Amino acid sequence: MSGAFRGGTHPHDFKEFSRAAAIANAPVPDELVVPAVQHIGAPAKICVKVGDIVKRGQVIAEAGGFVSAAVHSPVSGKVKRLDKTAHPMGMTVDAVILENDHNDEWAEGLNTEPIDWTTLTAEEMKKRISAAGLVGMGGATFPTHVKLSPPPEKKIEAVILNGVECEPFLTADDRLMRESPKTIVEGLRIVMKIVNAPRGIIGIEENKPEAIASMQQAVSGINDIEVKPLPVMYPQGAEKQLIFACLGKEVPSGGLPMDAGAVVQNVGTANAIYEAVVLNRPLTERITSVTGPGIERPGNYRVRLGTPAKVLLDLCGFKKGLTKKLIYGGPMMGAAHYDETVPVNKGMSGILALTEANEDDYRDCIRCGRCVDGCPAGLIPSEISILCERVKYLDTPSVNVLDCIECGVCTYVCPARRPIVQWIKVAKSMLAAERARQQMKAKQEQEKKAAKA
Amino acid sequence: MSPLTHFIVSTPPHIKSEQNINSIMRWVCLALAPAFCVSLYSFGWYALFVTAVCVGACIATEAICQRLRHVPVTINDFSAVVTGLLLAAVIPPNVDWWVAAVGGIFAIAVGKHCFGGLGNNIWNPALLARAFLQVAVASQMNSGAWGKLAQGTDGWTKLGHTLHGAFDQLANTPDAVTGATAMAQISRPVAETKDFVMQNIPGYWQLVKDSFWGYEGGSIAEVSAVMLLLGGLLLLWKKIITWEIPVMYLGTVALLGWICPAPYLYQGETLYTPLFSGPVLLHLVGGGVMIGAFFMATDMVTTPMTKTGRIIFGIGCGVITIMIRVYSSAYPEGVCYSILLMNTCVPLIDAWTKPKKFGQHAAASANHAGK
Repeated sequence: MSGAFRGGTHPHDFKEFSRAAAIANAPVPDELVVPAVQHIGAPAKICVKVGDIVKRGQVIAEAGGFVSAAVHSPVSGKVKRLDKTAHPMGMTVDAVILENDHNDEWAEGLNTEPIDWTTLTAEEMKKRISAAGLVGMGGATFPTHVKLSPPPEKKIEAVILNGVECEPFLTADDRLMRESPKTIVEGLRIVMKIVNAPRGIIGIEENKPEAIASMQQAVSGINDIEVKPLPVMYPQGAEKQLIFACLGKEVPSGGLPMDAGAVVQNVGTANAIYEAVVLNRPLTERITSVTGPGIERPGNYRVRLGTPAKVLLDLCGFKKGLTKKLIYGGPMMGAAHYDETVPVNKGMSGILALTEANEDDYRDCIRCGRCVDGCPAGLIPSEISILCERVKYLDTPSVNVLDCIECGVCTYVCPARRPIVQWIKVAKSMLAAERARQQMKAKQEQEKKAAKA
Repeated sequence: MSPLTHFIVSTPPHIKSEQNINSIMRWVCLALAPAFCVSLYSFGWYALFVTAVCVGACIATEAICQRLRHVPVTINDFSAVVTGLLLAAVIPPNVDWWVAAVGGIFAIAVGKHCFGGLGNNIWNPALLARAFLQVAVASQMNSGAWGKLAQGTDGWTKLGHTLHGAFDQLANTPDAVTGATAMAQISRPVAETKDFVMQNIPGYWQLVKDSFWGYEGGSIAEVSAVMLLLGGLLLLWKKIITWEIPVMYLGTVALLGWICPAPYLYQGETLYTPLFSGPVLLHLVGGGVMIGAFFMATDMVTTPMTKTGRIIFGIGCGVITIMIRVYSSAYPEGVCYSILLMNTCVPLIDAWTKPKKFGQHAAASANHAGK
């Protein structure tokens, strides 16, 4: 196994289901369910009341802090009610339920004629990006403006666009790169100007030759941007692995991409950055693949955020009886969900219907070493799994559990079918709980001391 | 099929690789098949019976042990079958049936379940059982006991000899299956001349050829080097095993077998052959080194988990094998003990060869710069 980074594995890519389908506009339903939590960080605060008339692009939930993102109305219409809705990760979150008037009117001053972004300063552009509620659209949903605000002492050597799309099945980024390469490149140039980077690199896995050709054509004549075809190897699209493949530098353990002089953005995010800066369009839609063996007519759709997944599933011929697992995201890192009505959010790169559950009973570790060979983080996943199996979660930092990127390679390759990533997730949350408990204890002791004094 | 109203919820990944314990074990069985076919063909029905006893004892013991331990019975996963086949592969074809049964019981009960079952054992169960039998029933396990096969009392054996002749005109020896194995023949041989090298033993090239094709004496399935090689390549091709252990093991055996001066007897005196004159080919095809390198030393449970670790493990096996083969006065063959000894070192090797975590170097240098 050789790739551009350590470890990795080769799952069958299953892109054949939907790669040939051009991006189509999904129907906009009469009722949309727009969650206030569509990003990592503080939840957005809903700022509309029942009965309010809203226009497309109007803020309906304000950012809850610096590491947060505003949510905008994806349609024009009326606020029907405020309610809870299911989130792909399994919890329920606050949501605004909108009644669509099908007029699709933009709010005042939005969706303007294209402007020449080179006349804007970095601060002005960042403000537009922040106002547009942009988050990482590859699935991590980290607020984009935060990533674009490195402290001045961190010199950014290159902006890397992530067009790897290493998750099997998903083809949304592939189609976007084939169909609108120009806007992606503009988005990249905007980011390069904001973080003052001399180089731009667009990393694409070699299993997408059309996307590579399309992007290469779009950057021809631009000297500081390079399209970099990368070997097909999961998880090539993991941020740190991508930086290593493009720049040959490791992000320090516990560090951020900027520590290696890099800023990484997904190609979908770059496209959204272009729309936010040049067209003054907030994020109200995204490209989502609807695919898998449980889908009769797989495809790629431009979907309004807040559209219930069921609308897309029905459109594509959902074989509900045959489907064992419904997944929001890709099969390696996406979330399986019990409910088909979860609304599309900013990070939902795919809706996947699998007809095989792939859940066997697990066995003892047979020490085959496949997880060790495959781990891109250089860990010994089997060791972590054995500690967790023995409920020694608090000992797991000694085997570097906090360096795990949860890519799922170990669990994919494990012949004993051990749920290693699941254990690691539990261990991480146990450690977080323990940290909180320690902090609480320290605080109480301090208070006691203060009271005595 | 009734339609599901709710879907299965679980953590990712939602797809899994095709290889699981069952499929791996089945591939190992399949890879052993060619060698067993040749051996059963040339040794006859009784060898098949011994093999069946080994496998049966292993499966039964596995089921009983798991019952006693109150854990699910997993005889369907073929791992007991693999242990049984590997044990049969390394015991002589003419042992009494109860020897095979005791070996199978020991392999599973002591070699595997005393440690906690599949995945937890320290030593390769089949080799552990072989070592046990070697001590417990030495008379049955040493090469001198193979007389009845050499006499060709069995119809199959005779047929084998006939075909052997058809394959190879040079094979004019009706007793191709002899009392002394190839390894025994190069262990302290008595030399006629003073300038002796191992290639001078009578019928050396015939010995190499016979060992390669499978007409030499030996344990049940270790006789045909070519078939074991085929099986090993199948496992490599299917990515059941990785290249490190077989390549490093065979490479080390070849290199050291060539370099090391070997003792021989000349007029009652122990002399040594010159450096760089060893019988490389015989070391590679003779004895148990092929089955050791491809099937025993690659047992996942008892070998290191890292690539570097597996390289060290393979080299270590090779070194010990040659040391025993060439310099031990008690044992002509060292494959079994070399692998068991290296199995013992695995926790140490794993501790030495821990992979470096991603970003560790960068973090260390950043700290250094900070100071």
